[in-house]
This record gives sequence, structure tokens and C-alpha cells, in this order.
Amino acid sequence: MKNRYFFALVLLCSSLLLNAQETFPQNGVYDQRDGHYAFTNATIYQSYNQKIENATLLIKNGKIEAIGAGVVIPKTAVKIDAKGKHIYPSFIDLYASYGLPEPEAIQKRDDKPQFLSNKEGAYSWNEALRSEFAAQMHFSVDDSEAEKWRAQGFGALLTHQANGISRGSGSLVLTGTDPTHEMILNPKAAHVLSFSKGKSTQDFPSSLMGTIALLRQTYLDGAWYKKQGHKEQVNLSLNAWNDLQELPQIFAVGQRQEIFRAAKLGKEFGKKYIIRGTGDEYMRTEEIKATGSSLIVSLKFPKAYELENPFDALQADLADLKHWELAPENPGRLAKAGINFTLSTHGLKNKKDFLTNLRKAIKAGLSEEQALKALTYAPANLLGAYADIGSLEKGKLANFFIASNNLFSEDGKILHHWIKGKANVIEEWSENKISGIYDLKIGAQKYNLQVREKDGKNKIEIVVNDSTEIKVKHSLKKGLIHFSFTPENSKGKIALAGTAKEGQWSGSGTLADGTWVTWTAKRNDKMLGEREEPEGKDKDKKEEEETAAIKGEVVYPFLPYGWSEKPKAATYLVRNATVWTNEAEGILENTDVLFKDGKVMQIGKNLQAANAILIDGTEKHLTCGIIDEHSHIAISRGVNEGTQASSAEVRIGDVINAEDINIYRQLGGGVTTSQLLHGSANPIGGQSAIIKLRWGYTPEEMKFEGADGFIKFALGENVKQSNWGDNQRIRFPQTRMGVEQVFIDHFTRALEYKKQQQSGQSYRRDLELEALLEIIESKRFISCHSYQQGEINMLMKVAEQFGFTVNTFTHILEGYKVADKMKAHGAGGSTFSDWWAYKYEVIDAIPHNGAIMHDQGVVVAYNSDDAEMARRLNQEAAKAVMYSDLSEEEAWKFVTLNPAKLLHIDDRVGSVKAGKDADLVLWSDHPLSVYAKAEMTWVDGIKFFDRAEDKKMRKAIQEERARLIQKMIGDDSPGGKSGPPMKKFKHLYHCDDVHDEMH
Amino acid sequence: MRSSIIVFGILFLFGINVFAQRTPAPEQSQAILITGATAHLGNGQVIANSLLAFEKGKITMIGEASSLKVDASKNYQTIDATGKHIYPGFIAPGTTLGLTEIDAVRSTRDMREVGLLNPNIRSIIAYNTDSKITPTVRSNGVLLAEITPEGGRIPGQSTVVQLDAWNWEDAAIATDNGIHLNWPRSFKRQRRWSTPGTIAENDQYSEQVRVIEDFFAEAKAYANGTNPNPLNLKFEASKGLFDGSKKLFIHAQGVKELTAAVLFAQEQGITPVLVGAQDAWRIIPFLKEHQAEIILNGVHNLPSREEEDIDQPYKTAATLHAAGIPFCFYLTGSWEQRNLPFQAGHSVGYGLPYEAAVAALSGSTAKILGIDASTGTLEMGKDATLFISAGDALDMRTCKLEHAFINGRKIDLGNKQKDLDRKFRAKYEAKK
Repeated sequence: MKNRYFFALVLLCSSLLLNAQETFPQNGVYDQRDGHYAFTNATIYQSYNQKIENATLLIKNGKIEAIGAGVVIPKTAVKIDAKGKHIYPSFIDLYASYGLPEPEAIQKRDDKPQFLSNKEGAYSWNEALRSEFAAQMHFSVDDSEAEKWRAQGFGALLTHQANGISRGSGSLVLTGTDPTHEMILNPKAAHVLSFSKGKSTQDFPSSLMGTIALLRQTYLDGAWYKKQGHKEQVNLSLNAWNDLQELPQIFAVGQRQEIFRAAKLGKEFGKKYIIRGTGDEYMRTEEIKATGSSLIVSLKFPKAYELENPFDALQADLADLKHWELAPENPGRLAKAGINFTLSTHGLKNKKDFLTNLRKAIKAGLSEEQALKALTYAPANLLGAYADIGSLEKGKLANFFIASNNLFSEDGKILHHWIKGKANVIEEWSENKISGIYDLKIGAQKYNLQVREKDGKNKIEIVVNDSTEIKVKHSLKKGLIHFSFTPENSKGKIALAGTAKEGQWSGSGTLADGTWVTWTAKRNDKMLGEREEPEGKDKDKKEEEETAAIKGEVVYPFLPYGWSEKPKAATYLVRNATVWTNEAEGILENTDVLFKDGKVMQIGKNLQAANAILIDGTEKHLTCGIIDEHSHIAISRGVNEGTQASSAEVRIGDVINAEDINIYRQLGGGVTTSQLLHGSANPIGGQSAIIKLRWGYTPEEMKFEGADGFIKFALGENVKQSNWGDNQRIRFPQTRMGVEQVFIDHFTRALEYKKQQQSGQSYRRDLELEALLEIIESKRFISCHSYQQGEINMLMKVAEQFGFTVNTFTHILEGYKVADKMKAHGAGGSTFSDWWAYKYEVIDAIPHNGAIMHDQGVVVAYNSDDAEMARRLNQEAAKAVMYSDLSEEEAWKFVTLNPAKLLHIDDRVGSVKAGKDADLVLWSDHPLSVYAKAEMTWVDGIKFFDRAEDKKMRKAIQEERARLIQKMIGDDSPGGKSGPPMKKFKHLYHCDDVHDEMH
Repeated sequence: MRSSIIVFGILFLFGINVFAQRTPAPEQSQAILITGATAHLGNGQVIANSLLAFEKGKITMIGEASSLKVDASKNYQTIDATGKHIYPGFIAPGTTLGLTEIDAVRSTRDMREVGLLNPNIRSIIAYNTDSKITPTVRSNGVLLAEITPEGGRIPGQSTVVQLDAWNWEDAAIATDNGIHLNWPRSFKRQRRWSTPGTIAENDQYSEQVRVIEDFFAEAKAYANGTNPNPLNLKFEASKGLFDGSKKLFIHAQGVKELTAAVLFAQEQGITPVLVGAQDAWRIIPFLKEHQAEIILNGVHNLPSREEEDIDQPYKTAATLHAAGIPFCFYLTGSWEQRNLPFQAGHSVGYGLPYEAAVAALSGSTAKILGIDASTGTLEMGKDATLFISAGDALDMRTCKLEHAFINGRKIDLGNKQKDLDRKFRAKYEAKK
């Protein structure tokens, strides 16, 4: 019986052809077979949640004919006894690049800026929009790759070329062998998108926000193109884009926050993306769940670093250490949160790690059922392919694999993988149960031969006595065995070969001296004893396991100083403090402030409140929070989209990084609100975001509710690219003369656009022009990076020509020269206290600038433009006192009330007043003094910073770090460590940083 | 003709000289007595109600008013500084002041020479005494500076200057006082294209260290000889390191680099002076044991790691002081030097005793730079390089310089920025 079965398999593997290629000519005699097989006595996972014992699987012509416990086996079926085996539906990976050519860049001509796509033909203006790429046109079976997929259980893949923002269509293919024609299950199965421009060498987009803007505009362009057909022009990319819209949409993103960004984009355009993340989703499960997105989850788990050297260990980020520990919990945590997800090999350097990591994930909390669901039902369902794959049911494809055991247990192994009814051998289905003690007789010589099975492999030894064993090399295939060893006190090897069946081996071979001998080995009845482990190892192991069981918490954000629980608003009563109201009342001594539900309730003496948390403000100062008009913290992947003279359509609000440690550090400096500005690389930059520093919240939650829209403009050296090197000499404008024309041109076009809008005719929606129109219509407000008086004056004149007011000049280092003109125009100034001499256009900058503008009636703020300086803006404000004898109260307003006015949020923040937001700071000293420390900082009445709490967190951080380093040092996972620690470089953005921060 | 009279008239009217030239002050001709001030001596001591006199550029009297007698025959010009503060002139080590005028304009940058090992490069000859930046730095109390080249492994030699001079020769007070060495980083940013990349192990670290070791070994051997053949300018310039006439300033930040730098210096028989030294607080006992001196940078840097205490840079100075490690404050850049005093002030808020903070801007700095024999503190016989502030000069809220003296010369506290302030205030006044 067994022999027959082996024979059958050999046949199968070598020459089975289920169907001849229908349209192809046949050279020779037709050999059509129906591939009729019955697998009996197996444990079959009919679907992820349905297991049948002792069941039969009947297949024919590549499909399942019947499945179940009582299936009648036709005589014409080849019967295979699968007793003890487990049969699973093949896995499906939705994120693969299999059988497709490697993406290649289109040759770039020089190092100068590339404004348009270099792809020839009637395609998109942007090289990263490759909707026209169809995987089906390029796919062919790759046998050696297919084998790797099958070995990990994968029978079907959504394959696409990972290149571009719109990557075109992916095909659903099977991992069987040729012909390619039969391995494509659905040629156009999904549209794949990403936030990465791939091989495109075009400058735009250079930032994540530019990428998002490009996608938004493309959705609009697609709709426009659909209407106009090919009337005005042919655009094959847009045409293809439209064709892809009805397919499942797969979106590849970087770290966790990009899931929110993709989901938000999808919401705007009515798409539910299947989002492929990077394996860190557990850090934000609740919020991801709220997006309703399905996920493709990577099983990439970081390897341990080498941290034996404590100096080097300092280089490891705590967040990375924590992720190393918690990453295997990711799938389990997602399942618990009720998020629909699939599992993927994405990110694994070696596909072989997939099953290993899957078992790790199961050990870390993912149930076997959930694992199976995420690999079969969920992906099949997301692609609408569940009628064919994803479970073993009558009529579905015969796509399954046979495992030696429960696949998810340590000794589970995939033996055969059948794709479309065709077998592929992963590992010989041999009866490897040869373990036992054998009496080996070679001629007259007797040996004690012992076979042990470990991890599915046999280990053979000759046992001489209690302390001496000789290793035996062997090979066992299809009942044929050969083995060799060097006997004690001998230099030569004995090499033997023969047959091995049922505890009875025999054959012939040579002794060390070449003598030809016959041999036998017969299993005796003695029990195979456990190999004795060195003493104490068990105990060590137990301790190790206990240590392994201790795990860190998920904190929000997933950084040092993150919260394990979000802080909540409470009722606070600060007593007996010096209160800087920024109102007519001025500075009040020995005063109490009561705040509750996020608002200031009462300011006065001897206030009482039930249930309020009392805070002694004696000899302390209570102020409103600092407002930074010009900040670039908390921004992901690029602060500039400076590749074009105007990028009015891009929005910082799309790329808020709620996981920037500088948010917390700045709370520690008393900052509560910041305007996150686009950089100054182009005359018309992007739209700003005003945020409150709600540490631990999501990007959307950080936004200042209901705030007006702002946009960054810029003048001078940066927009002229004066200091960018010789390659940057071709983008318009290169002079101040050109800058004026950029503004006039764009506003003129915006007005033309308005005419189109009002014409009643259909028109192409243009996000850039819409933003510019908002400016003209005073619905969006400019914060303009500026230095020299001439161009400052110029912009005011341009604004007046188009009938609006420049809201704020930021930097405005020569504002003191034109303060009267600014006042007359109605512009405010947000400047540095004392920066100068760093470029030519700031040679006339003076630290008296703020006070002079202020004295001329301009609303003046001091800003940071710098992650470090923002932590001590109170000291910067004091410099107005030092250089210009400004009153302390007015100086304080430079960093509080005045920026609030410039941002149109002074009805909510910027002073301590009943009814206003409880964004407050308690200072240890006079807030303008260099000696003052922010002791507590509240935003909306929620205490986000408390120096006493901070102290506790430091201790906890130190302890957790120490624990993780110990654990990493002790890690002896197979595959070893990744090497010395390494961490992502995190950019601190300034105005003129022009690059994306790729993940 | 008519219009020029009008222009002149306007200038006269507002008492402004918009073309002020900041002429270096003449030698001290009259003895000066400052009474009643709180004198911060720069050596950790303070005198509440002080008398301080100086003559011919040197301090001739300093002490508690009640314990001193004023010699009426001296014909002092007296400055009543009651309620005010006197400080020794602050010293800015490691600065590019005068080597660069406008950072973004290449033609004004003279701090970085081509080449890896440039011990023969001398900053002093590129030092521009007419920089428009210098007076703005002076007017916040920084009266001396160590002009320091940058770049490469050995950028060259620094010189300590006083900030009121006609040319680099009379500016210099300690010419070629030291050689600077940038210790290689054991971990560094690795990037491809425009991506920020990662911070990973520097696989060339050992090799880079070996280049330094080899250079020093050969320079030292060279210094032992006479009549060198061939003459090697780099080795010639380095000789002073081995006879003690020049200091070695090793710029390093991380624990590994600092440790390696200290051991290296010791092997050379040189007192280790570490510049930057952000991680110094982590290896206090080691630094103490090896008698290292620290020129501390980055009070106003962000913490070097995400998990580090958010105020670590603010409090490092206090830690060094508490451990008794000699240190002084330092800040990279040129115009930024005017904020050096506030870095010290900020450290006071985080536990550094006030007088220690003053010392780390003056007396301690002088010691570490090797100029303490003549300057850095308010002590008898030392240079009368000092200033009077109406309030606490380490706090921007109160700092207000009224007089400053370099070697007894009363210097002009005006600067280009004050001129522009006046010029444009006058414009608006005139409009009223």
C-alpha cells in the first residue's frame, strides 16, 4: 500500500497534466487526466472555523468534488491514506510581488529638477501615477519563487508591482507550476496604491502631504476625465485609473499613523481601502478599529540588537526595544480589537520566517482559528474570491496543503501542497517514525544505534557507553537509507546503505579499510531514554520563561513619556498664585483660578469648589499656555512640497505626527498650541494646521477645532533657491522680481477659475486654485515667511490689488522698517526675538524689531521655528524687555495673546478669562525669567504635563529600558541578532528642509 | 548742498550717528572706581557691597566696601553702581565669531579649511575685527572669545581674543592657545539619497581613530628631534601639545567617544579637555578620576535621546559642578554668542549655584583655556576686563549692560542693531 502511494506521488510530481492547454497545439499524444484523488482519514480544516476529523477530501479536475466524514470514494479515484495528517485550505497573501519584473526607474537626464514625468506616451504628468500598469500583462510563473510560497502554505497571491503611488492593477494568481495561463485566477483583482512614489525620479511629490494632495487631485481628475471622455485629450493613466475604481483598493502605508491618513482619504472619496501596514498596528488598535479599515498585517518581527556593550546600548531607542518585545502580539491584539485583517509575508527578508513568526504570534495571543481566518477566509473575502478559494468546499479550487500535524504547533510541517489539484512536494511524506534503539550488526561487530526524532528530524547516534556517543550521518529517502560513522578508536569511516522498513533495516557497505560487508539493524524493545540535560537547565528555562512573560505596556503615543491611559479633564482650583490674565485686569496677585470641563470657570480670591483638585500656587505664577505661531514639530515625512512654485493644495493637516517627542518636551516648556507651518521652499506653500499639544491623542484629535484655515507663503532667498547649490537654478522664480509674478499669476488664475465655477459649465476641479481663491475671498489666511522690507511691501501691494489682507508676516525681520505700512495694511508680525546673520537677507535684523512693530500698533508675536527653542519661548519674550524695555505684560503677550490673535483663536485661548479654554501653565517663578520652570501644563483642563509625574515616568522609563536590554541580551532565538543597535534618524524640521522623511 | 544740510540737520536733531563706526577704545587714562555693586568675582565668590578699582588696565582694588579704604589721591573717576552687578568679562570658547559674517554666504565663511589633519591652520589670521556681529555680542557681556576653526579631524588652532581691537594682532591675547581635534563618532547617520536614514554603527570608527593615533605618535616622535628633515609643518604646529605650551581640545559628545578621547589624551600625557561633551553626566566618576576638563555645549540643545530626561541639557552643568569637575559653558556659532550668558542662567534654574554659573562663563573658562594668569576673574592684578549690568546679567529679564571695560578701556556698547533701532524709531517719531 505504502509503496503504491509513493509511486503515485512520484508520478504526480513529474508529469501530471490535468488539462491540456485548450488553445495550444499538442506535440505528441494527448495525455489528459482528471486528477481524481481521495484523501482519507485526515483532519480537515474545511474552513477557518470548521474542522472535521477522520474525513475524506475528494478532488477532480482541479476542483473539490466532495468533502466530509462520510464521502463515498469512487473506484476511479486514487486513494491516499492521510491518517494523522492535517489538511488546510491554502493560504492567501494579498501583498506580494510574485512573477513580475523588478520595477525600474526611467533614466533621469541630469541632476536638475524634473518637473514632469519622463515616461513617453499619453500618460499622467506624474511619473508615480502608474494606473496603466497591469500585473496580468507582465506576470509569468516563477517556479523557484513559487516553491518558496508553497512551502509557507501560500496557494494564492495578489501580486502587483510595488512601484508608485497608483501602482495599477494586481492579479490574483496561484502558486502552482506552469502554464502561466492556468495560474491566473483573476487578472485584474485589485487596484494597489501607496504613499510612496517608488522609482519615480520626478521631483513632485517630495513629501507625504504632496502625495496625499496628488491623490486627492487625481480622484477629481478621474471624475473629470470620465465626463469629458477623450474629447479634449487622451490620458491613458486617468483612463486606467477610472477602470480600477470598482476593484478592491489595496493601500500600502508606512507606520501606523498613515493608516489614519489613508482611511481619511478613502472616506473623502468613498473608498474603503484594504490597508497594508508595517506590523505596528497594535500601537493604535482602538483608533484603527474606528476607521473601519481592513488590514493586511505584516509578520515581520524585529530581531534583537546586540546590546552587551552598554555604551552601544545607549544608541537603542526605547520605542524600538519595546516594539521588539511586543511585535509578535500585534496580530492577537488586532483580533481582540475586532479588526478584520489578513496576514502577509510583507517585510520578511526571508519567506521561511513566515511560519516561524506565525507560531510566535500564536504563542503571543493569536488563536489558531484567527490565524487561519486571516490567511484564508479574510483575504479571499476581501478580494471577492471566496467562491473559489479560502476554504475547502465542493466546487472550490483544490488548493490545499497537507501537514504532518497541527501546522501551528512546533512540529507541524507542510508536506505536500496541492495547487489546483496538482501536487507539489514540500517534504517527503515518509514514515519517519524510525526512532528507537537498534541492534546494529556489521559482520560480527555489534553496535548500539539510537535514533531520536527532534523537530521533525531524525538524529542517529552510536552509543558506546554512558558518556560516549558517536554521531552518525544519514539520509533516508523513500525507504532507502545510507549512513556512516567513525567507530571509536578508528580513523576511517564505516559507510553503509540499504533499505529501512518497520524497524528492520538491512543492506551492505564498506568498512574503514574497504572491506565489503553486509549489515542489519533491528529495533529492539528497549525504551529510548530521554537524553539527559545538564542539571539546572530546566530551572533556568523556567526562569527564562517567566522573564519572557513579563511584557511592557502599549503606551500612547508609542514613545517614552507616552501614557498607558489617556489623561482626562478634571476640576482644578489653583490657589493663591500670581495670575497673568492678559486681560484688562492685568497681573493679579494672590489669586485663585477654578477650571472645569476644559474651561476656566472663575478667577478671584478665596474661591471654593467641591471635588476640585487643589493646587497651591503660592509664590508661583499661573498663565495661559504659550502659543507658537511658527512651528514645524509634529509633522510626518516632509515639511516642504517645494518642487513647484505653488503647492497651495497641500495640507500639513494631512500629515500631523502625533508621535513626536517634541510635543511632550514643549508641554514641559509651557506650550499648548502651535501652528504647524509648511516650509518656505516656494512662494506659495501649503496649508497650515493649528494644533493643541494633546500628547497621546491622534493626529485628528490634536487639531484645534473650528480654527480658520491658514496657508504659508514665502519670500526671499529660500523661494529663490539662493542657497541650494548649482543644480537648483531652473525653477521659476529665481529672483524677487519673479516672486511677485508668481503671486499675481496664481491669483489671476484663481479668479479665472472662479469664472469657470460660476459659468454653470462643467469644469475640472482644481484644489490648488480653490485654496488660492479662498485667500482672495478671505476664507483662508496667509502667514508669510519674509525678511526684507521691499518684498514685504510687495506682497501687501499684491494683496491689496486682489482685495485681501496679508494676515501675518512671519520672521518679518525687517518689519521694523515698514511697521507703519504693515499697520496701515492690517498685517501682523510674528518674529524671532534675536535671530540674525545666518543669511544675507537677515543682515539688518535687529532684536528691537518686535517692540518697534508693537509700538507702531502691529500685533506682534515671537515664534520658534525650532523644536528646541519652542521649549523656552517665555525666555524669548523676555528679550523684548531686555532689548527694548517693553513692559513685561506686553512682552508676555508676544508669546500668548498676540499669536492667538494672529491665528484668530483669541476667543478661545491666549488669556486667562472665565469661559476661555483652560490651557494653563503653572510656573515656578516669574514666567519671563530664565529661572522659571513650567511645573504643570493643562490643555482643555487636562493636565498633560506635571513635573512630579514626569519624574516618575523617568524612573519607569529607566527601569523598562534596563529590563528590555537584559531581555535582549538573553535572547537566543534562532537566526541570531541583527547587530549593533540602529535607529531611525528623526528630522527636526526647519523652514528650508526640502525632503521627505521616508520610513 | 541744500539737501545735504537738511540731512545733516535731521541727524543732528535726533542726535544719531547712523554711520557709527564702533571705534576701539583708547587706553585707560584715568583710574576708575566702581562703588556699591554686587561683584561676582568669577571664581565662585561674590561681594555684596563692593569697591572695585582699576588703573592702567589692571584691577588694583577689589573687596567689601566696609573693609577697604579709598585712596583719594588717585583721582578716581567714580561710577556709582549701587544695586547693580559687576561681572568679569564673559568668555566665549569655541566660537566662529569673526570667521564668518553671514553663514549662508560662502565668501564670508572662513572657518573650515580643506583637509583632514590641519593642526597648522591658524584661526587668528582670518579673524575679522570689524565684524558687525562682534559689537552685538559684546553688548551682552561677552568680552573675550576663543576663535576656533571647524571641520575635518583636526581643524586647526584657536586663539583667544579680546573683542575690541583694530586688527587681529592687537586682538589676540593668547595666540594659538590650542589645537582642536574632532573625535570620530562611533555611531553615525547613514543615509541614502534624500532620506534621513538611520543612525547606525560607524564601521570606520576604528580606522578613523587609528589615523589620529598614528598622527600623534609620529608628531610626538618628531617633536623629540632637532633639525627635522624634512620639515613637516603639521608636526611643527603640534609640538606645543607635547611641551605643554598648547592645549588639546577634543570635541566629542557620546559616552564611547568621550571615554576614548580621555584615554587617548592620557596616553599622550595631555590633560584631557573635552569640548561639547553632552553625555559627560553619564560618566562622572571616570571623568573625575582622569581629571578631565569640560567645555560644555548644548544647554539649549534637545536631549540627545527620546527617552532622556526632557531637561537633561539644562541640568548637566549642575551635575558637573556637584561632582567638582572643572567646566565652562560654550555655544557653537558666531552671533549666537550673545546668548551664552543665558545658557548659564538657564542652568541655574536647574540646580547650578549662581556664582558657579558666573565662573563657568569667566574664571573657569579662563583656566581651561589657559589664560587665567591674567584674566577671567575680578582679582587684584588681573586685567580690568569687566562689565556692569543694572540687573542680573544671566537673566534676559533683567540683564542691562551699562558699562564694559576691556583691559581698563571703556568700550562702546553700541552696535549696528542699536543704530538701526534708533534710525527707524526716529523715522516713526518724525511722522508723529
